[in-house]
Amino acid sequence: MPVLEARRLSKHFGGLIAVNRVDYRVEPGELRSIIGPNGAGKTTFFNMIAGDLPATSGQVIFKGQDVTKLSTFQRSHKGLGRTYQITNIFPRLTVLENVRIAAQSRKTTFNMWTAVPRHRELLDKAEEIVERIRLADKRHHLAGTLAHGEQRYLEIGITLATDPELLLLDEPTAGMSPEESRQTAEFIRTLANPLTVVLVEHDMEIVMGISDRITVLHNGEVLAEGTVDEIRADTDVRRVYLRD
Amino acid sequence: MGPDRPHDRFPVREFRAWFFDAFDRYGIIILAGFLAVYPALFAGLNQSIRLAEDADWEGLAEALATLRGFVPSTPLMIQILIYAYFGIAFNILLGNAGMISLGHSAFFGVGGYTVGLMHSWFKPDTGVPRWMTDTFVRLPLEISLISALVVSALVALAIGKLASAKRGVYFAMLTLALSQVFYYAAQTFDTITGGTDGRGGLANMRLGSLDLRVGIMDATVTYYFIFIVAGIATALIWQILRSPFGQVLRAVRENETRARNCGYDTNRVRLCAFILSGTFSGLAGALAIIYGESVPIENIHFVTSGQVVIITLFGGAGTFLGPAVGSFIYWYLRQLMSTEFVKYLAIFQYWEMWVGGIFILIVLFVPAGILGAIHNWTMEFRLRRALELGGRRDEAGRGVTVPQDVPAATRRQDTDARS
Repeated sequence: MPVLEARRLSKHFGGLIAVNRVDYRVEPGELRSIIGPNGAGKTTFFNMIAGDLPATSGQVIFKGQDVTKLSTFQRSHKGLGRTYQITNIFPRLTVLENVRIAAQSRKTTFNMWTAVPRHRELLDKAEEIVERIRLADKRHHLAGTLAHGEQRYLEIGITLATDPELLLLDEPTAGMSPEESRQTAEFIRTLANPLTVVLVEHDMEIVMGISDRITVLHNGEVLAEGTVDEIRADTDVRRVYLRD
Repeated sequence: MGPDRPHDRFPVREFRAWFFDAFDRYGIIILAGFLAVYPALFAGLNQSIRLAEDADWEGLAEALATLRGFVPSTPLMIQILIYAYFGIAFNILLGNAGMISLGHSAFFGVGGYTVGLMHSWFKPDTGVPRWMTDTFVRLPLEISLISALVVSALVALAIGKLASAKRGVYFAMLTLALSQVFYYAAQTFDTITGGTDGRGGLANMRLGSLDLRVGIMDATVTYYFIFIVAGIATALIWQILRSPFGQVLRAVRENETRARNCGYDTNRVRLCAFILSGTFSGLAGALAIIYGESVPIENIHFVTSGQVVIITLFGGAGTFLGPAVGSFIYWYLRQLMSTEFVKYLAIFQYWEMWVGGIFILIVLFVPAGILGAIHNWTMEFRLRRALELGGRRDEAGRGVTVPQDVPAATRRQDTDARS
């Protein structure tokens, strides 16, 4: 059974058709990429899957369940986690608190009668994730004071703390140096399996290096889908990208 | 100074480090202790003046009387206490959830009116069932305070349902508009609320379970009653803010989109915060009418909402006790200007103008508020000290990594989640 399935998913903004009847399937443990020129509808498609935007028509099926009508936070509880193209963290909380608060969402929201430090298991989990995203020695720094690349990692860490089964990464290497991007790509590779990862990327090299399968969006429609080699050989893709 | 002769001078920095730690750790206890003995201090001052007069030490008596003009009286301290607590309740929203409500007068007023109406209705021959009046005669203030909590919670639910789904300035405007609905209702139904004259005639309020009389005749008893009730409520708020829920509030303030993505139902969190803040504010309003023994309509007017915003920003919305500091500054300055300064310069009778001016200065130059500025200063000091004690700046120069053998208090470095 696929982890994620989009059925004839569409998004219209007035007369503009941003995403047009896209069918999409992701199997468990896969590392998938969505690429395409600017304005191809990648982020819009992502937003519909994560619940940030309501779909105009079509369905989003997650683990066999129709989640089209569910809001972002409900989808998060089902096991969908996402990051944003523009870094989206809690700037005036510390690194550790950023991750801890995300982990807490699996336990409690309205608990008002205990103290935060009492919840040792959340702190342990946060420490473990902070270690994993290599920010352990900055765990007490305010997130807003971190360097750009570190903030991108922190955002992935926040998402990991919610125990997602499907990780949606929106341009995780945006604004990074080539060296940082390469490292990040390796890091993402280590996340896939047991997790399922879908990433939207601009950087073709990154995508080609790590993806199991690639989907090319163009003008809101799927132009091509296949393995790295198939995409490389695809004439349609070459035409779109060369013209871009 | 200089590292070569370290023991020549008084160790200023050590002392400051010690002082800041003590301030952090024991500040609240010292404050509570001071408030607990305040009426005794003030009574002691009055007593000394009388003794000096009796002994014909005119100079001393006069000096002490002048001093008394600059010391807040017990009734003024009652006002300061109430608004300190009101500000802390209000700050659940402003400082923690990041919601700017301009409608807290609704809760403050409704809390007061509830107590006022209970005391004029629950009497024999007003058509209220006998068992109710009987219970009320035994426990009047207890029952009316609990009723005030319930009623203001319901009002907060109603306003919150409509307003908390909106964000930023729309939220502020909606709370303002909805609170004014209550003001006009209070004005229109003047047979119940007393209209612009206020709901008066609340003499003989008593705490049934302790058989204590509170009100204008017993300033000290009223002071202690309010001190204890507001103190307990403040402790509750403190607990809520340090709980996991309090952390969720700050997450919503920091980045609502991210909080929702983490799986938090932020609309419900906002509504819940609003109801909590409104309910605690309703209790503040209920306490506020006890000493004056009447409910002035100003309590439900927009001006009260403005006051609590000013008080909170004076002291610092980013700190827990900021509103308490703000309340003291606001009421003390107001009193000082209109009774003491005005003796020397008539223009001080327009105290609103001066308080407004100070407010502008604080917003411009001390945006963190008085306590917030002290707090930031403490943090900066600790950061510098951490560097001196062998911490090193990271490559980006934005934070400090401190070795583990540095004393724990200093190791807290640049981490401030609140301000």
